[in-house]
Amino acid sequence: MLQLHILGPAFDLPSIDAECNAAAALLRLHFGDDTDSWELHISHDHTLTLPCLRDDSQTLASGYNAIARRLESLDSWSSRSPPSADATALSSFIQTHGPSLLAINLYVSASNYTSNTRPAFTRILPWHANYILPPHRRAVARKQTEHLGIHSIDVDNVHEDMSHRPQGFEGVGKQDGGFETQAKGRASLLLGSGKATLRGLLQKPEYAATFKLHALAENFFEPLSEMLGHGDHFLGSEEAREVDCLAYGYLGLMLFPKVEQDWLAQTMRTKYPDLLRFTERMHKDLRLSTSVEEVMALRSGGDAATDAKPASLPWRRSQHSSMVNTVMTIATELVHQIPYLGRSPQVITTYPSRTPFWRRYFQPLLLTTLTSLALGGYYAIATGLLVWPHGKRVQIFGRKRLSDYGDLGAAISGISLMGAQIRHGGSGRGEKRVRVEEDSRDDGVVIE
Amino acid sequence: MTQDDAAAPAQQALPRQSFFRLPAPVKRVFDRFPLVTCEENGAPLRSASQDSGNILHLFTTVEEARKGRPSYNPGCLRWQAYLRFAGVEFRTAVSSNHASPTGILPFFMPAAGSPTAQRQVVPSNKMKKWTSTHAARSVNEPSDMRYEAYMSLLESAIRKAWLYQLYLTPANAALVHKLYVAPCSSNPLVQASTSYSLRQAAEAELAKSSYSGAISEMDIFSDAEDAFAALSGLLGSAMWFFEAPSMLDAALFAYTHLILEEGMAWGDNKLGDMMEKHKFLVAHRDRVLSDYF
Repeated sequence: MLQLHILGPAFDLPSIDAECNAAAALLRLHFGDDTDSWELHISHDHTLTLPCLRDDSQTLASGYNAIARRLESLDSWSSRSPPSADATALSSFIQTHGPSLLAINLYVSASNYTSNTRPAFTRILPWHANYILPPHRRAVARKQTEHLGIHSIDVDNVHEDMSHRPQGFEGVGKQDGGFETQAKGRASLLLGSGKATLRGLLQKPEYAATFKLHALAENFFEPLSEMLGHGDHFLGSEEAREVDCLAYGYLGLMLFPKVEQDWLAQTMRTKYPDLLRFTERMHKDLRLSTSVEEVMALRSGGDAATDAKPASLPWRRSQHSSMVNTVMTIATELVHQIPYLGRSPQVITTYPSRTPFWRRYFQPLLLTTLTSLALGGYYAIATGLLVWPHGKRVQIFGRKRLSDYGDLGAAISGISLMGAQIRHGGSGRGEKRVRVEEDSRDDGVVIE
Repeated sequence: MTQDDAAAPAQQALPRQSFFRLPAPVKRVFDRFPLVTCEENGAPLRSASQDSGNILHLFTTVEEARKGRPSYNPGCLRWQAYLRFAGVEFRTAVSSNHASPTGILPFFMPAAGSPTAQRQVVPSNKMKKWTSTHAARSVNEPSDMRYEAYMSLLESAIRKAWLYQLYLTPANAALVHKLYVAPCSSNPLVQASTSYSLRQAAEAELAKSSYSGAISEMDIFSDAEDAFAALSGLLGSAMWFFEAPSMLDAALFAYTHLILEEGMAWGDNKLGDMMEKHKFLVAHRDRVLSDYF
């Protein structure tokens, strides 16, 4: 029994992740109506590479390419020809340019993230994963799109939507009707929809990035639509292949979510009808339409729901995570958030790594060494274990007195003092002692 | 209030002492010593301004730069090959990322129009544009839509495998040390820090592409194997991928040359073993090397 672990369903699609959708489509294509030999599990572990294909005991493949290769090696498909060179290149093209578009559309864009992506995640995740997985994915999405220089649509970073307004902005549109209509005309040119007003444009930070986003979308859609042509499948293939499933995974997640800023779906709808038709046909033919509520009911509900087969896909209930698991997940995640000691990318090698320990953890080790040295030094000095180097408490400058030459000097100076006192004479015993003490404090008694 | 005070005539009449002005006695001392302007020191002999002609700054060694041999960095070698394809005469110079105005090598300094004129700097992202206007023959981007798709094979699958093989394979640590760490500093602590940060950067780059942050060696090399097979399939026995040498040829050569180059002394060369199976790609590399270098 093959198990496909994916992120939960959203936006009428089997999963909220593009490659998970692609994998679900591929398995559906592979097994057809036979829903007994594979099942779908919902996963919410962000440290796993999803989609992930398992059998009962072990992980067989993770990631779309690995799953496709694995399925190819199964018996039932061995009669088919391996993917052509063009198909490999096209897959690579989709996987190179698709993720950044999706990252912008669903995660980086602040309005889409808060009003669409985040609520969609809330429906499919257990409570604790809600605080871990979506922010984690958003952080990764930001990192993926850093090089594109689209920061202005991410209002968490930039507060420019208000500050860039000209002074007295409120009055501009009202005073001059002509200006506003003019701006409207220009706005509709920019955004492709006549609804945007000048105010609406300026309030939306997407404005500044619009040109760049459209160029990005065109660069992705145009080669794709050329390779699709007017045919049913990519590269003029008679039947759906791996690359079609992959394209469906990405295009579906671009098309189906009803997001607030839908420049991506809009571009696809208006300019690339072939791609639109392809995506909808795949969605229908493979019967991948998924109702989130039904799948979730199946997940939490009793056995009756399991038998009812609410979805056309073979969803299975996954075990409830125990309280201990939840606490462990939260604790691990908290530890990983510590700077420098936190998570470093997990490298899975075929051979165990022979990198020396100190090289692998150079920075943490350096930091720990320096900190422990500093703390140890501070402790030693504070407790008097180590004494800060300093000279004698009393320094004597100038000529030396006899008493400075150790015990013998003190004895000689005592004798000479006695002699001096005898010469003075006439005083009481108590007075003498006082004088001696005073003398030894002053530098009065100096013998030359 | 303060503005009014400043404008008052009584204030204006006083001589304004600037904070930076020297006090009179000190000034008198300095007046005795006329300021001598020394002659400018000449630029070092190996600096760019000494000779005319185009110069490409890239990662290389001094001897190899003199002979114009290929760079050991695929990002640099790609542009070196591209400029050779375009028939641009240039010599190469040793440089580092710190010298580049964009922080990335390579960058190109075209010959100045006149000896006194300031040289322009062409960073790598503007090099295509510069070549299209100045080069003897232009290297056109093929209009074939497949060009983009095959280019993405090099930019994702093969680049990832390259990063993994060079930076994350323990057996190749000595090679990284020789190429990138030793030229920076001779201090062992600085070297340890450099090699650590190189490794970290490569890991971050590889982990960026997946949401889980896991790097699977097996998947990376399987993808690279598929990519080589696809490129070999497109090339076939033809001379070039499309009619004339293009950026795709240059970018592929940049990887294949370094993978096959014996001077690199790989500790563990999985990509090289893969390429053995694709004779067309090996022949392509040999052809570029003999025709243009």
